[in-house]
Amino acid sequence: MKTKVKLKKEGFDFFRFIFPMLLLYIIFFILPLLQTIGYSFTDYNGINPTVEWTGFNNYLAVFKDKLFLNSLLFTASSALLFMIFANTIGFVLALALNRKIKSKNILRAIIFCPFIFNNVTVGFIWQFILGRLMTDLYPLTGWEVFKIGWLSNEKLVLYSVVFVKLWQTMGYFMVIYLAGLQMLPQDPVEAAVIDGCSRLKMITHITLPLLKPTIFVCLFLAITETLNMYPLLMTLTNGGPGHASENISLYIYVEAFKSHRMGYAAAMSVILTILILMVAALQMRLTKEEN
Amino acid sequence: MKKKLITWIAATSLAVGLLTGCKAKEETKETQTNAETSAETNAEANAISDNDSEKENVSGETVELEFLFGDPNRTEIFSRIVEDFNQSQSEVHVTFNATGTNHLEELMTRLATNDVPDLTSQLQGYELASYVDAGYIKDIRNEPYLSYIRDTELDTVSIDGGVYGIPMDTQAWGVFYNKELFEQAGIKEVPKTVTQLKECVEKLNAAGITPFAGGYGTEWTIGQFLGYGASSILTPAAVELGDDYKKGNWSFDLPGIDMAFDVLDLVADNTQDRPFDTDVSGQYAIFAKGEAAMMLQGNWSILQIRELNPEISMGMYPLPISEDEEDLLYPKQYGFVINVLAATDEDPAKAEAINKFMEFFLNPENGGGYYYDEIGVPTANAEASPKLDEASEILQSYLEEEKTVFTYYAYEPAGFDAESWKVTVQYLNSGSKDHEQLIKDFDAAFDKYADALNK
Repeated sequence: MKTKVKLKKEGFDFFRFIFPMLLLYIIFFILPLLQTIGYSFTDYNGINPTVEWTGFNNYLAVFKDKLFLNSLLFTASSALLFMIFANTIGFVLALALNRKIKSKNILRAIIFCPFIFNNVTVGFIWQFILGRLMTDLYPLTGWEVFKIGWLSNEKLVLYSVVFVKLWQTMGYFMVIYLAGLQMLPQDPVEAAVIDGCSRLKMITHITLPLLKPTIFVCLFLAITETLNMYPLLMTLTNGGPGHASENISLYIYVEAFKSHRMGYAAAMSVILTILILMVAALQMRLTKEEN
Repeated sequence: MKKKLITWIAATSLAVGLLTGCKAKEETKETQTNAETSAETNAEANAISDNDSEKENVSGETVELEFLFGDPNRTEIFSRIVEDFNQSQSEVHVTFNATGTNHLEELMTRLATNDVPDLTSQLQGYELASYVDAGYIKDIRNEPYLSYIRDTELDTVSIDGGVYGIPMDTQAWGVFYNKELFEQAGIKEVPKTVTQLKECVEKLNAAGITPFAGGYGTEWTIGQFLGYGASSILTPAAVELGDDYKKGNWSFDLPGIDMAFDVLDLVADNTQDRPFDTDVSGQYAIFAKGEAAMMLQGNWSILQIRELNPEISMGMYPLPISEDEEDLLYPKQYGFVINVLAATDEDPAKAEAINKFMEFFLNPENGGGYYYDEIGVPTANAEASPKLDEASEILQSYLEEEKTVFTYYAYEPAGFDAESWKVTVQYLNSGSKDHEQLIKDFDAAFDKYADALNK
């Protein structure tokens, strides 16, 4: 049984270790969050520090704003598409490279490589490829695929953005699934092999169920990745053509810094925070249930 | 004991590391000032003999100014002017910080964090009003250097009797054309009506020449059709409405706007393949290389086009949007404006240093006078007689005949410009040619940002 003195000492040690990061967290996250909530009830334009209280007007305006709903739709669509494809491709690549093949290490490195580029660099690379390069390749080859406006067609830009994000992150998801596969208990697998289980049934009835925790983690990581797509969208499409590839983060940035409607943007940020908290709460609940 | 000591060392190192980042900036400034002080000791004797320099050289220190510069088209030339100024004397040192296309965002951030530069650029019209209202921009109406600028050119930098910026050039927007390609197509005169413009396009097509270079990947290149191209319709209407306009009682459904949108459709239908995948630098390249005969752009592009092709024989004419030749006006504004921050008034040495810097390039006799010749466009400076680029000849004639109109941009509420570009791109992308819907979309965008007109 620990004495009071010992408990007090442990508590003090605990506080000593977490204090620096706690301080940073309060300064860079909590205080700005509180400040943002405050601004969301004002007409702050980002320039004049003198502001007027507007009550809930900003929040009411957000729900009537078609462009906000448009950005929410784009965010949800891109998140859903990315979630499905990133996890499917990551899992398939992990399965393929979890076997004993000679070149697996090189292949793993090549597939993971794009993940080391930051979003801005990836955006510029693919803007050049899908824009200027394809425009120049069409007259040389006559191939119709180079005539398609992958970034300039309103109907295609969502898929182009998801494709670029997949290119960047499929290695990341592959690595997570690889780790999951390598940590799986071998007993059920060996028992299945003895019972004459086919490869497909092995995957669907044994591998996937055992990988549930990894799948949960990857599903929510995929959502996080799409919410963090703002720098990629800025460089790849700038939200265009028109507002066709404008996600909620980009729309908030435009309203805050280009339209000088910081109070309004703050209201949208608060709404976004609440939506993210709901997703995080769902994740925690599902993970808890699974455990 | 050893473990405890290691713990404390690790925690202290982390905390010190955090503080080091904050301190580094101050130390750098200190280091620079100390180096300059010691370097300037020899110059002190000369400085003291000049009465005007008594204020800034009491301690022998060089006065530091920061110029937060936001015009990408003039970055190269102005960086040279600043370098020449710094080398020509030692009392004042100007640090030139070019911000590029995110200038206003950077300026906002700097002001919010109280890291205020001494000079900046680009603020005029409604954009300027927000900053003046917040007390950030200095009223320069009594400054000696303002005497260089014609009184008639101060519209977009004047607010309630005060003057808050120095307009440098007459920025105009219109149609660049390649004189050789026009000759090849048998076009002898620039079009002054919509019908003449259509005939011009037909002749170019018949000669196998792409009529227009488009760069819609950068939205403003075509988005400016509303803010500049339709100014002869929009600006007089906005001015006539007066206070009603500021209250947001406005619609883009005005006489003549339908024909203006017909011209927009004409341009979009006669552009190179995939204009939405071409950005502004691609547009400049297509025009400079002679792959298209015309380009809708502003005269700020002259420098870039000359860099790409110094030999191009080009002109620039106002875009006709009606059938009446007499109605044809050249849209203009003072795009490149220098603003002085009000914080500089707190230090008399800085205020004097700014006078010195302004005198260097506003007085064409001084070292920075080459600016006016290199830019090649008409200027707001009464003392300068710039050598105009051939592309500025038609603009100069319209200026002399007073056949110009101030751009509608100066009347747009903050935030509307970027939104109107997106509306224009979306309209062209849809291919619908539904002018009624386009007007509704512009009206909706205006209503969204109209509150800013009263701030």
